[in-house]
Amino acid sequence: MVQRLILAAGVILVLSGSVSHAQRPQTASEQEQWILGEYWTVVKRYQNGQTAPAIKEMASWPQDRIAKVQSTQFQPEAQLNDLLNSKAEWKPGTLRAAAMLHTEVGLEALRRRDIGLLQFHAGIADGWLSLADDRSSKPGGLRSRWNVAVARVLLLNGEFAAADAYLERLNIKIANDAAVLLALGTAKESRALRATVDAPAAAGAKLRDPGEVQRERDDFRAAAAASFERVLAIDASLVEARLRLARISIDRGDDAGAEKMLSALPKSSADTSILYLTHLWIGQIRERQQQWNPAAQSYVDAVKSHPDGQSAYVALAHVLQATGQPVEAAGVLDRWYGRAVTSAVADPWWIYPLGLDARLEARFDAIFAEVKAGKDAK
Amino acid sequence: MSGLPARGCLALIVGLAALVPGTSAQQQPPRFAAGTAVVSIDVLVTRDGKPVTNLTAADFDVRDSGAAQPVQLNGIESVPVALLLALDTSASVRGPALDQLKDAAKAAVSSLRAGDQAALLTFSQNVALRATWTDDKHKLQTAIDAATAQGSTSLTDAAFAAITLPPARLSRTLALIFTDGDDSSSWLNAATVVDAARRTDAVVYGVTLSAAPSSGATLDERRAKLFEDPGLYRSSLLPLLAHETGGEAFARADTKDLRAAFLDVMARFNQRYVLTYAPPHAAGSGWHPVEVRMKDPALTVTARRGYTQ
Repeated sequence: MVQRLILAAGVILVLSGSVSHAQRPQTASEQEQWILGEYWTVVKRYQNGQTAPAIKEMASWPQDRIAKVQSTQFQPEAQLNDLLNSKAEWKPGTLRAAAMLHTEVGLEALRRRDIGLLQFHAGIADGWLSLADDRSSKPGGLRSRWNVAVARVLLLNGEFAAADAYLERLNIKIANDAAVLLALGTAKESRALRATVDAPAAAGAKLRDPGEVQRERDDFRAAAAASFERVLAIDASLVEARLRLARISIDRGDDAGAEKMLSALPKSSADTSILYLTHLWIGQIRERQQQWNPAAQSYVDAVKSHPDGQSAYVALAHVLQATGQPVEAAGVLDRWYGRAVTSAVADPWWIYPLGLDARLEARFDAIFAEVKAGKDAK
Repeated sequence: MSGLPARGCLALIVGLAALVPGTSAQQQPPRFAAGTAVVSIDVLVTRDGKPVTNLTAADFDVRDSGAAQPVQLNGIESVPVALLLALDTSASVRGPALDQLKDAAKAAVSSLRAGDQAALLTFSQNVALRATWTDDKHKLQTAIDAATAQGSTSLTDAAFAAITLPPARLSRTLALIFTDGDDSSSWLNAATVVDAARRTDAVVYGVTLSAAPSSGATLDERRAKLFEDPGLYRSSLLPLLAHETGGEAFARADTKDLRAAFLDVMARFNQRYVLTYAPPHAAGSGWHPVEVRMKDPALTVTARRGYTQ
């Protein structure tokens, strides 16, 4: 308690500008106070609208120094409530602002493809969000939504294993959260989809053991299916979980199970991605049953529901080619080529492994706005 | 070909194709259509990996569904080449690699002879036909120069699009497919496309920047594995497509080597032979396995594995 009060006093001194470089502290305790003061000064600048310079400054901080700030501030759990009530740096709004600052630094790192640095700043940000929630975050809350957005950033960048590990940890921190479980299942399913024994490699590389890869893939599928089932148990209206369960059934060769899942989906939906994928998958099931006309009909329905869906054009062209109509197949592809160059809308199948709602900027914008609104309200 | 419907069942499918907004199937002759008058097999003969020229029809032993066929050897010099360049322009090809790829593609176009044609298809996740068949080299090179690199990779869908593009008239079609990595966004699986290759007469040459790991398995064994579990073996696509169509697949370690690789493909394609014969009278519709052997055991022949009538 004493130490914490000293630290807090140090922070106040720094924020009031009374600690100069010449007065840099000498003892370990003083140094801790000084670092904390410097840190929260940067956060305050960010909070007060000096966004770009604050991001630049925080990006220049060594990781161990940032970690030191958080570990210092994270310690005395028993006194936390007192401190939260008394010091600006411990107030949820400030802590969340710090989290957003690290989010921005992390996203900058991502633009340089530095996934490790993104994960570091995400970890720090999550720490502040946890503290802001008094270490008791609820499903669906800001911390959950923010973490899911970060995990989806990892997915979107093809970092399936990293996203999987990230979401596994999150699922422990915030249990029974449908959005977390949906993202976790997506990461697992994507890892199953990416499983291959002959991935391109340097010359001389050996083929992976097929049995081992197959087991790994089956395990990922089983874990994904379990996640999606838990999602539906929490919120049966989350149709994406049902759609994904159908996909897993198709991949397992259980077409009857997939059809059962797909038939439970709404026949009309504002979400064209769901409709499109439903048609596409029914088409695939019909094709496997060698019901060529119904397969083609489903693919046409898919094109109609999402005219920029390359996969549906390709699937339809394939049915035509397979049934001895190469000219018609080429005609369908020709129609796609007419859209391919100008289309700005992604095929839902392309983003399926990344998560169907890939509007990450919108997700982050909403979270930033929410944090900002919280600050303004104080 | 197993599992295909009888012709009578197809009318509805044709009608459905017309429902795709804007679809207008171009009226061009299908390849290997029912009633094929002449079977044409494009083959490469090598000794120690190097093409062998000056062979005669008597050097070949061709069997259609197990029955020996009297073949004619057609001079390829008189048959124009239709070069379809299918180039991976996903994000991983950004920067100097893209410049080197463009340079390689332009070199291949420059090597075309009078009467030859080319088309350009690029793919990331998005498969786009950038130039349709033309003998205008300037137009082709402009299309190549305009390519940008971004996105993920739909190699399998692009390969299907490449072998489905209607051929230029009276030509030998070379589909030169380049990729630098793993497929990440295709709808079709690799087995489907290898199967679809049986219904085209394009010869596929694949150039990759990283080889599929060695397994010691023959291409036939790899093919069997692919059909057993297409997802697990998808990176075998280009070697198996080449195997199915009588082409070749090459792995290069560096994009700096692409120009030489593309020119080598063009040179090898121009040193092949076209064998023709009348299909056996008893030949029904469906898949006809063809086996081409060299009478000289020191020679190796690469030819498509059959045709669909």
